[in-house]
Amino acid sequence: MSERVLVAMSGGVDSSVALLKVLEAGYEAIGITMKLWEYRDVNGRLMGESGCCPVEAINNAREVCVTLGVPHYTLDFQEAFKARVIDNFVSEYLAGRTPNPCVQCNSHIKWDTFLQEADRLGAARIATGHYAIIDRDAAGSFRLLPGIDQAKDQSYVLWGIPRQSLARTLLPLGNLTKKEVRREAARHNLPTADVAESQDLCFVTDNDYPRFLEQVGGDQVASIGAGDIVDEGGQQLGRHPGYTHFTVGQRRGLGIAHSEPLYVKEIDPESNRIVVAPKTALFGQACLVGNLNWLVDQPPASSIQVTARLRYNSAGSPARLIPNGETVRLEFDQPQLAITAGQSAVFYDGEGVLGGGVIRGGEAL
Amino acid sequence: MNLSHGSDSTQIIYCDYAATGPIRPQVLAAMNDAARLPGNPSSIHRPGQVARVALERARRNVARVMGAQPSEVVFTSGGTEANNTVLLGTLHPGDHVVTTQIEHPSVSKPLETLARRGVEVTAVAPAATGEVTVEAVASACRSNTRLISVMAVNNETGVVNDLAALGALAAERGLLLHTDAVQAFGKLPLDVNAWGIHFLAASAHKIGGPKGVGLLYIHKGSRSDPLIWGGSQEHGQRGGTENLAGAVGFAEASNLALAGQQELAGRLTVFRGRFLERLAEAGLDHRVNGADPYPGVLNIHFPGVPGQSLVMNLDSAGLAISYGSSCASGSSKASHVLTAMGLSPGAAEQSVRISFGYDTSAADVEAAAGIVIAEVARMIGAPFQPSDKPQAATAHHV
Repeated sequence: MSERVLVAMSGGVDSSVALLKVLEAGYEAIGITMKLWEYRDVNGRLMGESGCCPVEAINNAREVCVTLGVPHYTLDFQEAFKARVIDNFVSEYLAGRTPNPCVQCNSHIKWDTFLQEADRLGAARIATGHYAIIDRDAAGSFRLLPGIDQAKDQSYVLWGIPRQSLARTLLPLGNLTKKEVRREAARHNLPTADVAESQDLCFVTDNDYPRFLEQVGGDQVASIGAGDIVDEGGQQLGRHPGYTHFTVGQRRGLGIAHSEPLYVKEIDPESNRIVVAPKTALFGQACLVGNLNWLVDQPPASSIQVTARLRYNSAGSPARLIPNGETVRLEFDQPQLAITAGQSAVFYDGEGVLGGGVIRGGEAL
Repeated sequence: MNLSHGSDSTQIIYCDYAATGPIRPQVLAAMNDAARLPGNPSSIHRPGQVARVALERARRNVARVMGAQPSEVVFTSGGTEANNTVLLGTLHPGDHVVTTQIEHPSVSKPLETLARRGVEVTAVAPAATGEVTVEAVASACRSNTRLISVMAVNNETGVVNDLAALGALAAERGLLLHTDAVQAFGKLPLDVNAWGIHFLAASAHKIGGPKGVGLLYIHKGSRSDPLIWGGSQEHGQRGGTENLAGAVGFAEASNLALAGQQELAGRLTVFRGRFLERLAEAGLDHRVNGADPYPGVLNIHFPGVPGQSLVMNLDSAGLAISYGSSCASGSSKASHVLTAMGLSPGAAEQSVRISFGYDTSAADVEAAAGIVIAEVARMIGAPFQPSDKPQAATAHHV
């Protein structure tokens, strides 16, 4: 009997083709969709025809599985998702930081629960539709590498998965481009071939973060109220509707007429103040990174040169990584714009991902 | 049963009759004839008359199953609509209703809605056996109690409630009695008059009829507002052109169920005993949830085995059963029925429902037991201990 693989099915085209590739490789597959939230709990306006509505996503995933003759099951992880992802999302914004919920979900929900379910179902491996590659290095250790489609590479959001899981994880799309994936889906007449790309966050269905935070955060968010927008000298330039509406580096929505464009430089939850400054003042030379997770057998013991990515879809920047116990310090070769607390910093060597962590805060020039 | 629309056709032993079952061939044939009738049962002309005769004949046949008059039967879209109709049609703000903690959502959800509108709701717990005692219901009644709503047979455990005793209580207190009899109708003897039932909900697809048709029995002396207002169909109790083929299919399924009721119950009792015997022979740690159930339903706790994952493994191994009720699928929450009976959430999450029905064969039961034993043993990591009895492992087309 061929080896059994649990395929995480989101209802989109990527995971559908991942399933196809798993079957083509000769595995026996089981499709699993995680039910993470209920539409009535997050509200908002559903955008376009994206497969973001969970019912629609589950239906799409089921239809693909049935079309390919694969059993499909839905697992309910709403409680865990609320506790580990949504509550964290709210508390990070309340603390003036900008979280990466997809990283949280991958790190704390997806991999752990999929592997646990794989054990129960007698599956040796799990597979997902992420654009990244898991390969063995010369020493035989598993490494996480960027996908070949640079525009779609998702290695950044996978830094937090358990290192031991690399050996049990298949990422069948890492060597494909998005275009090839769509073509494969169309060639096999998969019902999800034309499903639109999902938006940034699956649970903020209208991309209206302030609306979502107010709904889910309740009084804690609602009681924040209006605050001051000040310049670096503390001079008031305007008012804002509440600091959770902002993220470091943001330019839009400030409503200030000024001689040069101003950006959010700091968010101060204590005083509910937003500090704005010209772009030149937003560059930082270094940052501290905590909540580390290493995806290599031997985490760096002394300082090394890395390429660090500080946000999704950004090209990496050369930096010195200096280990310091539970944290690392990144010192950049070139100053970095808007180093944002709460975002993930992911470290790459010449091959792939070494590990990553959460940015604690940037240091000015 | 071929569950696949793809090229891979899957043979699977179907043991989920409490969820639904395959339509019986005689039912399909009767529906095929009825669906070809061109007339509207409400029309004056002869095509309409022919359709009306078929509809009223169907009504007579379904009424017979529970000892009702045909005029007391309203065809609905299913058990859910029937339950909703009674609850929303009889209870008003200030009224009190006594129900149970083990009801199907088609009863508990409308009652939640009514509670928000000012109806007082008391949901009594069942005994550890799963049965709702008449004493528990009696002690929950108040001066403003209007209705008692207790299901006839629980869909998860198969436990049977004493409707005759509840009817006597309702009569003594001058209350209305409603029962969700979706899991009982056609399977167990029902006598609405002798038992003093005022409202009863039933569904066709649990007895080999089509999905999407059910009935509401309204005792001739009782009243409930319609849920669906419209034309004067169904004595004005349910607007909308009648689902004639559905009603005829329901009637055919009712006739078959009634004719075979005793024989089937006897056969299922043997199957149930044999299945449990196989588990015991294999030395598999298990506990049956619920006492003296309808013999077609077996709710079993396998300590240490997550029920939802077990159901998936069994599906892959060729056996279709349920975790909790199928209506709660996609939710991994512990069964409200089992926890109300006093099981811990952990034990409830390790429980599954196996249900046999009219097309189950002795070979199915043997094969199902073999698959369950193998998968449970594998999941608890214990070595599989084969029984010395031969296994009949023929998959079954349903």
